[in-house]
Amino acid sequence: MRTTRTTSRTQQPRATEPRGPSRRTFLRAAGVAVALPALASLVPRGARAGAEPAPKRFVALFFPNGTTQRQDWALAGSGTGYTMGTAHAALAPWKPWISMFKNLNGDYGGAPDHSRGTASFLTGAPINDQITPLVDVSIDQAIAEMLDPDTLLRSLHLGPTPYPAGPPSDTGWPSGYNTYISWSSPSAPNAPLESAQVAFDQVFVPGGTDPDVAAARLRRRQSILDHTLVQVDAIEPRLGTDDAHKLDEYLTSIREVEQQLQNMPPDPSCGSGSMAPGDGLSFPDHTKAMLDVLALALQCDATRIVTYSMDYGFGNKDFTFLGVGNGKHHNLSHSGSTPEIIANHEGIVSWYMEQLAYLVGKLAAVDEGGATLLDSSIVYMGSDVGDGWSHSHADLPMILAGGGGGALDPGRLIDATGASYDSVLLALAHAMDAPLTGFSGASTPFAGL
Amino acid sequence: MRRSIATGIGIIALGLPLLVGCGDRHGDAGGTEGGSSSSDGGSESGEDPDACAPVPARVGLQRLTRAEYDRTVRDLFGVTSSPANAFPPDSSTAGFDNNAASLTIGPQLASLLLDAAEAVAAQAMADQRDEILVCAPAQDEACARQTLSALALRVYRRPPTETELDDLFTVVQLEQTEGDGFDAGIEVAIAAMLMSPQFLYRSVPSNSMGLLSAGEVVELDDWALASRLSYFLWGSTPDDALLERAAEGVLRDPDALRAEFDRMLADPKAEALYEGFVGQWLQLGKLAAASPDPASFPEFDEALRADMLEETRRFFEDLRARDGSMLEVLNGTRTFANAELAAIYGVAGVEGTALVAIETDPTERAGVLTMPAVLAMTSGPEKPNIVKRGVWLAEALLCVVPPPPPDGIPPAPDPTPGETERERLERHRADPSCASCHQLIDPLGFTFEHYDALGRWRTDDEGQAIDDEGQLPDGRTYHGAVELAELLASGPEYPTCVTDKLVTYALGRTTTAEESCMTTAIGTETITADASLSDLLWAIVTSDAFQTERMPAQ
Repeated sequence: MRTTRTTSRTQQPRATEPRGPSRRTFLRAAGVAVALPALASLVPRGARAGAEPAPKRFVALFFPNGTTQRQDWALAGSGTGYTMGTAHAALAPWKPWISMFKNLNGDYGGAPDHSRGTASFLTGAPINDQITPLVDVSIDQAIAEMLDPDTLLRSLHLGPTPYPAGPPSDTGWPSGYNTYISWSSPSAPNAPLESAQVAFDQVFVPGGTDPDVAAARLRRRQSILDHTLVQVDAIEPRLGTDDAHKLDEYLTSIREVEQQLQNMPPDPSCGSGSMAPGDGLSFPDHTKAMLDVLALALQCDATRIVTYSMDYGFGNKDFTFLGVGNGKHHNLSHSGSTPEIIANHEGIVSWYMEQLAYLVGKLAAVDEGGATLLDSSIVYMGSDVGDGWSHSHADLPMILAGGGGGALDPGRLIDATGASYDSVLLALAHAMDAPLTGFSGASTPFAGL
Repeated sequence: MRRSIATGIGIIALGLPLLVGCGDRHGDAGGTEGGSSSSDGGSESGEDPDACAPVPARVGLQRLTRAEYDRTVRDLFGVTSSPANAFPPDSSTAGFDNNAASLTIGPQLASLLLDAAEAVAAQAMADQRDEILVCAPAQDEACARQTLSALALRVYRRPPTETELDDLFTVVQLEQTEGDGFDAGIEVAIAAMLMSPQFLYRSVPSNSMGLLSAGEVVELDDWALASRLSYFLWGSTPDDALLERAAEGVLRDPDALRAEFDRMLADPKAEALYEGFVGQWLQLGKLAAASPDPASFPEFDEALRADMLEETRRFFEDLRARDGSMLEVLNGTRTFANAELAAIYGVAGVEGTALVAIETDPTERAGVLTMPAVLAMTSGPEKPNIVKRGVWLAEALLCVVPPPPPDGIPPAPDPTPGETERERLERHRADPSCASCHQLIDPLGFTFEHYDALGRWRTDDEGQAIDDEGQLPDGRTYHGAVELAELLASGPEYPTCVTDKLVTYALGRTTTAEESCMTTAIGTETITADASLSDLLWAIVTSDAFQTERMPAQ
């Protein structure tokens, strides 16, 4: 349950962000009477800039079906002297910002199939329910809960191009376990956006800058949501206890949208020059567009927490565009031990690493007053299984990129032998300055980040 | 009054996505969850539905799926822009995306629902202003309430309460106070309705059902029954005619209900049964992932992939139009093909790209079992995938769901020169850790050995003779798809399985183990050579499971 979140966050003074005049200031000027949260102070743009360090950002990138665990992911050496695999060629220029895990094993509470591995990626939690998707709060949401950043969006959740018949479904499990990596509560997944254009519009709310138009729109939306909240209260007594979680989730989501209405949108000038991505993109174009939106959302401080399922668990995207013949990802990951098939799977892993390199390059190009966006970010990338063929959960292909605002010591091979998977997720939260006392089964954060 | 088809007692275990213990050689529908009197379920065959205990259960809050949302705003306001395309994907439980258990509303969806509500309301007022403003040019409070009442009846799928009307009128007033006029007030109120739980969840109990106590069983009122019927047959909201019947309070009368049922099943909107039910039941989404090797199958292209899918649609639309038997899924020889598909079927004389009705060879073909779509989507790039074909047959037609592969399982062995697939898989099953599941799956997959990766009949497999001996989970053996169809047409497994899936789809929840008595009874009675699709659907609509709700125990 997290219904109290919006209440608590509205009590907090806005502390660090240099921003334009708040929406509240501007609504007052427009003479609009709308109940808005009390803010401690209204600070003109730039007044507090300079002394404050850049806020930390957390990005989780998921790719499915693991690796071949052959030369593609052959990590050797130790510490900063480590050597990467053949799939990592595109990352070589960024090696000082890239750490890779060795011997980090998943703990899925059962055979490591795709559903278990995907559900565990950010939760460290096992799954059991075969009817209702139930996991646990994911680390990105635990971080968001504790940091409660005063950004337009509390967090942003992105996904791949749509599958025509819906996200892939694993035998015996609800497909939600493959579809969702971010969970606000055990029963409340954060379903990802499958359109880069829709994601772009979430960050840069369309509709122009005419203050009268914007004020009228805000008033109408607030009126609609006020009505919704009254209706939820009215039907609640008529529902069974089974529905309490669902109604609570709906209520929480509505309140979050209400909060978005009150939050400041990013300065329109931040995104100037960035192109709206459009609809109907191919998978590779969509991926690039999503990474662009992701980087822009961080750069403009529209959100500080992003998860991106580059494909869903059990994903079977067509990689024919790589020239790998009949290149359906999941099919290839299980198709045999012939050198050609292995090379095709390795080619797909390489492609995902190229996408990471693209994002890292974008983050590194954003200067935030002496440091780059990459310096202040933690990018955690990984997969549901280690060896895609056998579904092994041993030696997961997990990567860290960025400096975490000084909390990370990047550019190393991180030996996680003996560490629990939960403790690594907990350590990520601590590196984000979200000192959770525990996460999933871990109470002590992994010390080796 | 409606006659309940369920009283008395009789239980076998089916229902729920059934995870059989693969080690159980007889791990079929009756075998593992206890209570079965026989492993093949044969003793339940033909059981009178009245012999089943009534075991209604509550559907949780059931959000409209993306497809249902789009159809609903289309039918309410003529909006055909598919606003739900912008929503995050729905996920599925037990293979169906309308299952209440998987339908949630997170913050991103809530934000996009608000966008959609505003956009739909604006378009509705632009396109249907004259229909919506029922008392124009009046703009007083009485007119506003009359307008809102008529709108809410359709949007909420039942008459609004006085309080609900007051709440909507408050929205209109607020907007009017801001000087945006009557029309703008109504537009915002429409958006407010579209954002309300009464619209977004199609299972909110009506007021007339009162406050239910734990464990209490109640009959759905006419409004709730109309909604359930409409979303079952149309995947969309009740139309004005159905709402009128509900307002008259006649839907508990079997004749009145049957008249609506017949009218709706004959309506083109009932194609939603194909889009919503058949596609998910038969897992036809997997066809998108089929990737026949261009060198081996130069005739395969995206047009042929689309034709294969179109054939399945035409087959079921034809079945619905003729009100044929659901046994035709197993043994039908009437299907639809263009030149490319006819070539796969080996049927001469079909030209052009448009699909036309054909008769297939009954010694080689058996309904959906041997359709190119099914055979292609269960094949690898070069050749059929026996394991995939076996899993499909087990899941889709027998409701036997193999569990996920166990931990640390070794990959299947590579083929050795001259070895058939059957021999390779037999070598695979020699490993006990593999055998437990694959001795269930593989013998089902061998059924289709006469069909290549596009679904063409083949007389040999790269020079090796075809061996299409298959085996059902209860041990019965047969040769090929045609013989399998005969076996399945005479036993309770397939009828029970299809009924279970239809009930799961109709109710938006998984069936309970106790309900397997009902699904077996309905299936064995209405999936026969003499019974029709409408008999099956009608039996479901008149079942206790469909017509009642039970509040969960606190």
